[in-house]
Amino acid sequence: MLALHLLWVGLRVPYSVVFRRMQEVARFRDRGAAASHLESGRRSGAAIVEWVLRSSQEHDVVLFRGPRKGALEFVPALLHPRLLVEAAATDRSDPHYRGRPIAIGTRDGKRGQIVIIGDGDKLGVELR
Amino acid sequence: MSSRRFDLVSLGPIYALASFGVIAHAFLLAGAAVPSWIWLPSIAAALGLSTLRVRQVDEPTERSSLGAESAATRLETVLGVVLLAATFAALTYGAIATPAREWDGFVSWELRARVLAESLTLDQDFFRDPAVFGHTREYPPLQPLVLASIARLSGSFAAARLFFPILWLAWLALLERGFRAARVPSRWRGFGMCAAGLTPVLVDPTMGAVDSGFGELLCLFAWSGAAVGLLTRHGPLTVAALALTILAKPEGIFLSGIFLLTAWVSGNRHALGSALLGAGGAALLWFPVYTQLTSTTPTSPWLLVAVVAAASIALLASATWLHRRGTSPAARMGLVAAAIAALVACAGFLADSLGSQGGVLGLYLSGMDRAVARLDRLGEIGLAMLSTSLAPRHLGLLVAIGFALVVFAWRDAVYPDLRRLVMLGFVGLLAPFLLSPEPDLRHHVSSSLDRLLLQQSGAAWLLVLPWLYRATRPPAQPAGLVAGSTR
Repeated sequence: MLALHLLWVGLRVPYSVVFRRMQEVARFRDRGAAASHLESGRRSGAAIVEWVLRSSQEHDVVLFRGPRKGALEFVPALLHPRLLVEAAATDRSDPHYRGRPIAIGTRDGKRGQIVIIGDGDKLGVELR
Repeated sequence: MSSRRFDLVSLGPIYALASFGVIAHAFLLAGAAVPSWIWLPSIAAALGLSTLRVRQVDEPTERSSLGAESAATRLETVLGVVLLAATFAALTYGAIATPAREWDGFVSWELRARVLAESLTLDQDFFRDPAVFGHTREYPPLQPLVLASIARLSGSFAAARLFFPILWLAWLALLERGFRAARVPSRWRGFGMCAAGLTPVLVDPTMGAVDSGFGELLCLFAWSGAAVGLLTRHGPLTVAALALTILAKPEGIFLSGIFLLTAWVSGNRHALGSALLGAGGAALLWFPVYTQLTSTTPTSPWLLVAVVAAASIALLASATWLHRRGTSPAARMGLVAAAIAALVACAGFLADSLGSQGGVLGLYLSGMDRAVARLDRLGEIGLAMLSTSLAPRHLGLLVAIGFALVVFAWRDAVYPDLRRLVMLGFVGLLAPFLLSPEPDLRHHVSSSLDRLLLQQSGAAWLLVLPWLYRATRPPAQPAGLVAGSTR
């Protein structure tokens, strides 16, 4: 049985360990972090994250609302070093949160504070 | 390489990481930033502790077949080295080529490391402000701290991720040390390193793999160290490994409980004392940090000290009393039911102390009602555990070999304490699924059991390989008939 085990794990090395890993790395590099994490399976929202990245500075706070599950779980890491903060915890009239500017964006002719909306496997965005 | 010098390689990393964890947590508790120079005392401690003699170590005595099989053995060696080298190269490439590509590795473990790389302190909004979305920020910060400090020292986060393939190598060296302590011949030690090192769920590009960024590898490394400590009755190694197990992942609490239970049932007071020192000390360092990270009302440190001290005294006193009465391990297992009842009672207290709403520990510990309600699904959970653990794509044939040994080679069983550790660890995996807050139990088992099993696979190989070796070698001939015998 040990010989069978060794045969099984040994034969897997060229394809499962080496080739599949190289494929995965190449795919990740081609697509970028946002699409790799958010456009897989049922998840979506990479375009929103990429728009927020373009619209904000690294030191900014980006607001969110919705349950901290699903696609939204990836957003703090994708936006790092920006901080993702509950919109409800901030004051609408204050352009800062704990000394950091709140990210402002322009979309469809409207300008306002960016709020990412977590909705299960999907992401949305609104400006307030 | 001499045995002592090899111990620097095989045991040094576990001492260094445990020392780093203890010192770093002392800084965190003091509310200070963790300086990167603490690697210096950590490495010095590792150098010192690695020179301590490991007991029950012996070179294999059976060398008679080596000459006859030298050509085959050389081929096996070359094949094994090529496979391990190719895997190491793939893991290294996978680790440094991109940021973490798997879920928890990306959203939790690596993000916390990147935040800490900017400033090695938990006193920042990401960790302190509940309004900030910091995924599972209450998880033990040791691995993120290690990566962050290496990133600061090297100036590159990719360089820090080299930690993962190097830790995989260190784990293999640790296993080799364990096999050697178990008097497994060198050829079989090579088999064991390949069999364990190429475990599919550890080396495939998947969740929990070496380069996935998850905490599984560190937990596996620490728990394997605990198994080697138990096998060799090596106190300092047991202390360091149990401390590291607690500081590595939340599952460390569960695994440490399994170790304490094993030592208590086995009447192994030496291991029990060492484990209490390592696990209890680390728990005292980590729990206050945990309550800070869950933003719940901090539990008084004196209350924590009192609870850990009372539990330690109760365990040691009962072990001593049972030893004097000559109580058998079987009878002690009967008493375990009472211990589990006590644990259930304690879990309520711990859930309150540790924040039943905020953190992952509280969520599990407050799940006693769920566990009772799920008792009728015990068979379903057990079957799911069996099918997952026997599926070759996760652990290869490890569990199948283990079952075969239990059924067909029980009389050749080795190392009763380690056997209990592995078996209690396996059966104990029912507990997290009974307590889990996850509503879809089937999905929970299929998505996380392979990683929970992986954490214990090193300890399992340390048991299975010597047992298999003993079961398959030809029966010893009477001493007078052995060629060259001088008797």
